[in-house]
Amino acid sequence: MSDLKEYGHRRLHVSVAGKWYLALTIGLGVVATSSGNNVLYLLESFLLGGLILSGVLSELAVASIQIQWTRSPCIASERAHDRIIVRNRGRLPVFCMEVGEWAGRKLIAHGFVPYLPPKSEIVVSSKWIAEKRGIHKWDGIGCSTSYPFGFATKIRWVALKGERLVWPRRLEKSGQTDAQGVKVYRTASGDFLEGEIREMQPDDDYRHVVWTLSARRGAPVVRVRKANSRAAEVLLDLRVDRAGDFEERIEKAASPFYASEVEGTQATLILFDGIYRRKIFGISTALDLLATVQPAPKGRHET
Amino acid sequence: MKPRELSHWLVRALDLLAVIALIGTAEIQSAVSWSVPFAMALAWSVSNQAKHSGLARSLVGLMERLLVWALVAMVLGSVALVRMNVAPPLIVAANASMLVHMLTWFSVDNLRNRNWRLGIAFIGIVLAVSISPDFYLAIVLFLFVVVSALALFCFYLEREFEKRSDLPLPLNFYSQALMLTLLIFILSLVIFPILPRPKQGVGFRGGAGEETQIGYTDIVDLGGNKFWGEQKRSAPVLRVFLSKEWVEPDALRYLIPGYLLRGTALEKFDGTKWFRTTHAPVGSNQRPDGADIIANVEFIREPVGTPTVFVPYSTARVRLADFDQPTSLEQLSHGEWRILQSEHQQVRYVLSLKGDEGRLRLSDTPHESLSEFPSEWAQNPRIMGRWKELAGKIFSDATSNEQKIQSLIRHFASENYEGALVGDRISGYGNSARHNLEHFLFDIKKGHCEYFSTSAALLLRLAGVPARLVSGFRLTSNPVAGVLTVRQSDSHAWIEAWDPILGWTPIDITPMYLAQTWSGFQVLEGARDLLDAYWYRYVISARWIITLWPYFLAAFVLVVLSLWGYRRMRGSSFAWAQSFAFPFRFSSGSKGSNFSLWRRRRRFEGLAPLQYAPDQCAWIKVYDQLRFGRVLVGGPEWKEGLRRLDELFARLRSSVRNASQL
Repeated sequence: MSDLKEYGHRRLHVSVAGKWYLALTIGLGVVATSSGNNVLYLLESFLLGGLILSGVLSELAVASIQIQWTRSPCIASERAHDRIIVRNRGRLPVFCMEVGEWAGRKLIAHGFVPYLPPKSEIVVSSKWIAEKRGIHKWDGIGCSTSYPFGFATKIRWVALKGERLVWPRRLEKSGQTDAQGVKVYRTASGDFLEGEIREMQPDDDYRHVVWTLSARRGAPVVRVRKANSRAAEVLLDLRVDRAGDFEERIEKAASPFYASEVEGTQATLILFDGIYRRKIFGISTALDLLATVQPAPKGRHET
Repeated sequence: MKPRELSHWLVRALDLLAVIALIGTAEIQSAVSWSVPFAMALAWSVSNQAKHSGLARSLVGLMERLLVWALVAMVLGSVALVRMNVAPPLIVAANASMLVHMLTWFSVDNLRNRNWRLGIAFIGIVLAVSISPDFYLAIVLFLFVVVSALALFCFYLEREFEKRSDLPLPLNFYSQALMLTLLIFILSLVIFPILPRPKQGVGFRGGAGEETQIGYTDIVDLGGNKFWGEQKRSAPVLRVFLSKEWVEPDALRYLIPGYLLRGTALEKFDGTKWFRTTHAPVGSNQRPDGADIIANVEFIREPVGTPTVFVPYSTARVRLADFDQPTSLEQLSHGEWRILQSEHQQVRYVLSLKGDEGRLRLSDTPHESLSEFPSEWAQNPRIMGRWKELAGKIFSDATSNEQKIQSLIRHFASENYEGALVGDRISGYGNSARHNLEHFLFDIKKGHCEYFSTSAALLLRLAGVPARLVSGFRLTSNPVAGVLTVRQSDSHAWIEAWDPILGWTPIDITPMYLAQTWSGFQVLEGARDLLDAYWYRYVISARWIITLWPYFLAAFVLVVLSLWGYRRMRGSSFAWAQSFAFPFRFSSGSKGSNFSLWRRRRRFEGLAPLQYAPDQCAWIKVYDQLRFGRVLVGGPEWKEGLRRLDELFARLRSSVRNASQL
């Protein structure tokens, strides 16, 4: 969870309409000064008034915003269903506010609030879609608005560095998992027998925690209640020729884990880099690893 | 309603306002003005049909493509017209912008084109206020700003909403737009006085391009029949601002002798027209007897296509109010004042008047042409016989110039010569100037001021008195709310006769016309004139801004810097500076001291020193909390602290009193 509470930094991006408006204001200023006609000065005052008002109101709007961000697992090419609570602490309503992550000197929009009354809050679901698996990093979180006239976009961001894992893309047809370098084995029984005690994994249901044992051990342990009758074991060969092939292999390897997540069964990932085999238990752990795993050189052989 | 639908109507409203502003200036060619409704109707029907008809769609596409080329053609045409000196640049630009408006009506209704149309409408408004100083533009301007703020806000929402989804307008859109407009107006009123003004002053420098038909001309033509049956447009020409004591007719007559405002003197008459003759400028703008000024009166002259400045005979001094250059004004030897800037501009000038006792300084002496009778007439014995017979009859008993002048006035009064307005139809007048003049003088004895003054001047010349015709204005109506409006229909001609003792004496023998009864329309027109006058005086050429804007700017900068500093230094290490700037705002050590706290401390210190007392320690503790803690003055914590201090102090004081009693 990360919050936008501090004053933060500001960035201003002038829009095309804003540039024209500025040009018109400067032009009229020159004309007014050379003519001495007070009505032109009055018009100039209106233009400058609009400009100042635009700056002040946009500042009030972005300064009054408080964001509370709760992140959820993110899958490539799918919406990140983060829960963003946008709170307007100001006395003025907020129009057309974008909230997002500050990265690479720009604001990557996650959510849009068309209207937020004063002293109120709204929960926005993130609409950001990660392009590819891996580690997604950001320098801060922020909000932006071009209220009230759209002359410029004012961005307020707070330096809250962070990163998250983006799991591999989910294949539409999860059944087609056979590919070069990926083998899926279905086992009659899982790796854990019913009633077995093991350390709690991130995707375990907290209702399975055995509190007495956990208290004794100092770490949460769970009891596996149900035997995983159709547990999947995915063998992923990390040796590839081309990077594109590897990505496809990763997506295929991740597919049984997504299926297991839906079905509530167990799945195990075995990584093979030509020398070593590494077995990973737990769906979340496996997907986390699949998000960051890199190909191994082609020439490696098992010894 | 969707933002797109609302902005569709708003951009039309802005278009309409700009067109109204431009047409109202009367500088738009009538052909252009008349084509507006037709273009509107055509554009409306074409855009409506474009959804159904391929032909209309292609026409719209063609117009859009033509727009760029038409703009280029208009720019080139405008440059050519200006270079050929056909019309001033502003007038050409205003007409061109009207045509551009019409072309944009055919464009497709999308956000990009709406932005364009908003810009073009704004340029139209700028051009309108540049070429016309009338008050109606203030109303148009007000509406334009309101609708513009609404439109900009709406365009913004349209842009934002269309990017995501087609959302409707928020429920409080209108209240927000109203608040934005109100804030813009408030900000504008703050900004307006602080904008830097040019050194040579403010004022309206655009003005009409073509000579306005005001009735006043430098050449008085008695020939032809041009005025007959042609009612002149009675637009305002001069606005005179009078103080309260001069608004009564008698007082006004004293201030402006004969109700006459002198323009120029025309000395040469060729039998048809009166011409001006060349006069050298006299150096000084100051009368030798410049003392005894009874009033300083402000005049505003509309753009009338002449450099002449109209002044009453009681004028002692003339000063241009809008332009500070001393060389902007010159006086010619025959008493005419002229401005040296463009003649097509509104001029504001202040006259120092000496009242009825004063005389306009006329430094010229009579020369031969001032005693000339038209040579063509002089060669005709029949004509000369008739004129000389009348002159002999009028001036039979008079010997001096003064007596001759009095005789002439008596003659026109006793013979019941009847005045007429220029537009009146009187039988017997034709195209010949001599015929018209003789018809007036000998037969019908009814005519307008030019016949009166020409007859009088020629009769005096026959009697050996140098005389000339003067062209200007005669007041016919009373001031309204201290503003006297002189209209085109008040243009007048009279004569000046030479007397060796008195000098040039104005003689107006045309019977005086009283103001007609005001109809409802004229009341409205009068109100409009008044608003025009005030608009020009207090806004367009407001002088106070020139002198005060640096002070306004300094105050504004100071306020902004204070606010900025206050925000920057709050809670920072520069707190000592803040405590200096805002000594009574915050109580805490880092935020300065507070007077109410300081007063309590002095009172506390004034108590007789006690040995250890719990209340004393408690008082100091609360004080320290208020003084050095971060407590906001006026907040609930602050108030509670002060209440506690007072309570403890009261207990301490009673302890001290008890101790002293013991």
